[in-house]
Amino acid sequence: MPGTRFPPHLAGNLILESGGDGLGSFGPRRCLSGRYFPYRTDMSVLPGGRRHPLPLQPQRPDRRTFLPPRGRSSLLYGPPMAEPPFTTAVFSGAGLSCRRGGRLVLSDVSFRVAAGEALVLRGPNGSGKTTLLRLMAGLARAVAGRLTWNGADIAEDLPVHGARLGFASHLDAVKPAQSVRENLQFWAELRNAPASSVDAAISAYALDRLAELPGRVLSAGQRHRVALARLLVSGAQLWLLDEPVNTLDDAAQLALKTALQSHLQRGGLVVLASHGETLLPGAASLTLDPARMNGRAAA
Amino acid sequence: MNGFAAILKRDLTLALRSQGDVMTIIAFFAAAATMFAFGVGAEANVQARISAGVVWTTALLAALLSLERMFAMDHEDGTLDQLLISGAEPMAIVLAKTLSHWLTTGVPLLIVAPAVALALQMPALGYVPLLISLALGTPVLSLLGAVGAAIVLGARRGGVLLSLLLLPLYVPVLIFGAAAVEAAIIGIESSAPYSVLGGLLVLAVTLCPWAASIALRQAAE
Repeated sequence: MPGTRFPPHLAGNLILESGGDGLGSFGPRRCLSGRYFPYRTDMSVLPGGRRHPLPLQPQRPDRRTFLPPRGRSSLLYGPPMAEPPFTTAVFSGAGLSCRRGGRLVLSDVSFRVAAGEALVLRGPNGSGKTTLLRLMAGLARAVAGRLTWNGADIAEDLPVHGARLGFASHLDAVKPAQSVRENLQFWAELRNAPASSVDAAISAYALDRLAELPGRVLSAGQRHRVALARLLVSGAQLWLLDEPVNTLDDAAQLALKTALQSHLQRGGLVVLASHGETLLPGAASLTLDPARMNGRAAA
Repeated sequence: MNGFAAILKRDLTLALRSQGDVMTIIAFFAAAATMFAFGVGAEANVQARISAGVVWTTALLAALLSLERMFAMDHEDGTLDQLLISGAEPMAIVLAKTLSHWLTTGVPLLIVAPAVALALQMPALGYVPLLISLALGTPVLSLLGAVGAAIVLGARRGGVLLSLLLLPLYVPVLIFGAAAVEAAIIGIESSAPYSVLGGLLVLAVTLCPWAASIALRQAAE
C-alpha cells in the first residue's frame, strides 16, 4: 500500500493490536483487517507452512483501536463493585480426616473462618490443600470430623451449602463452544443472579474485549479469569480458591486482589490455597504438613 | 426443580452448536442397519422378517454410542463440580441432562427410523408400531444410560465398561420393542408390548434419576 506509515520491517507481516494498554497480553489479538487471529504475533506463515488467507499488506490502522476505551483507568479494570454486605457467618471444621485412593491425606484438621476473614492454606504439593477445599465445598466426604456453617452441619443440606459458596478449582469449567459472556450468563441464570452481575464480573477481570469470543480460543490464563469472574457472578458468600494465581499475569493478579478485598469488606469469607504469594497479607494461615499428617492453625 | 431449565437450555444450545455429534449417531444408525441389508442379501422375505429386530438393535447401539459423553465432558472440564455446588439438586442435573440426551439422540433416531425401516423392506403394517415402540423405548434407554454414564465417570475405558454394564439392562426394552413391531407385521392386534414398555418407562423415570444422582455425587469425590 503506497504511503503506508508502517516501518519497513513490518511490511508483509500481520500486525496485531496489543489492546492499547501497553500490557500486551490483554484483549483479543485483533488483526488490523478486523478479524480475530488467535496465533502468535508476527506470523505471516501459519503452522504447517500455509500462508495466512488474509491480505498480508499492512493496512492503515484504525486510530480508535490504538486508544484505550474511554472512561477507564489505565489498568483497564473497573472500580470495585458496591454490593450489599453479607450477613455474619462462621464456617468451621473440626477434626477433619479424609481418605483418597485408600491413603489418608488429611488427618485431624480443624479451622475457623468468620465473615470478613480469610484463611490461607499452605503446604507442599500433595499435602491435601485441594482435598480440604473439596471437603469444604461438600464435593468430597470426610471419614471423620464435621464441617459447620453457623453451627449447622453442611452435610444436612448439600445443595443449600453449595449455593452459598463459589469454588475456583484448577479446572476452569469454560465451555469451548460458548462465548465468555454466554458461559457466565449460564452460571448467573443457574444461581438466579441478576444479568447485570455478568457485565460487572466481565469488566472486573478485563474480559470486555474477550466477551464475545468462544471459550476454545482463550489461553489458559484467560480461561482462568473467566473462572474467577464466575465467583463474582455467583453471589456466593464463601469463596474457595485453589492456587488462583498460577496462570495469571500481574494485572489479573491485581484484579483478583481487588476482588478479594472488596469481597472481604462485604463480609465474605475466603479460603485460598497458595504457595506463598502475598495476595492476602495478614490473613490467618493453616499449614498442612504431610509428614505429621495434621494441620496447625497459626495466627 | 431449581436449575433444570437453565441446564437443559445450555445443553441443547451446546448440542446445536456441535451438530456433528448428533449427525454421527444418525449416520451410525443408518449405516449399521444398512450393513444388515447387505449381509443377509436382497431377499425381501428375509429382510422383512428381521427388519423390526435390526432397526431396534441398531437404534439401541446408536443410543449407547452417545451415552458416554452425557456426563464425561462436564466431568473432565470441571463443569460437573460447579453444577453440584450451584445449589441445583443433583436430581435436577440428571433429569436435565437425560432429557437433553433424549432430545438430541432419541428424537433424531425416531425421525430417521422409518427411512431405515424402508431400506430393510419392512412391511407397511410395521411403521406405526415401530414409531410408538421407539417413542416409549428410547427414553428408557436414555434414563438407564444416565445411571451407567454416571457410574463409569472417571473410569478408564469408560465406553467399553458402559456397554458391558448397559447391554444386559437394555434386553427387556429390545425384546418388547421388537415384539410390538413383529406382532403388528404378522397381524396380531395386541397392546401387551406397549403396556410393558410403558411400565418400563414409568419404572425408569422413578428410579433412574435417583440412582444416577447418587452416582454423580460419588463420582465427584
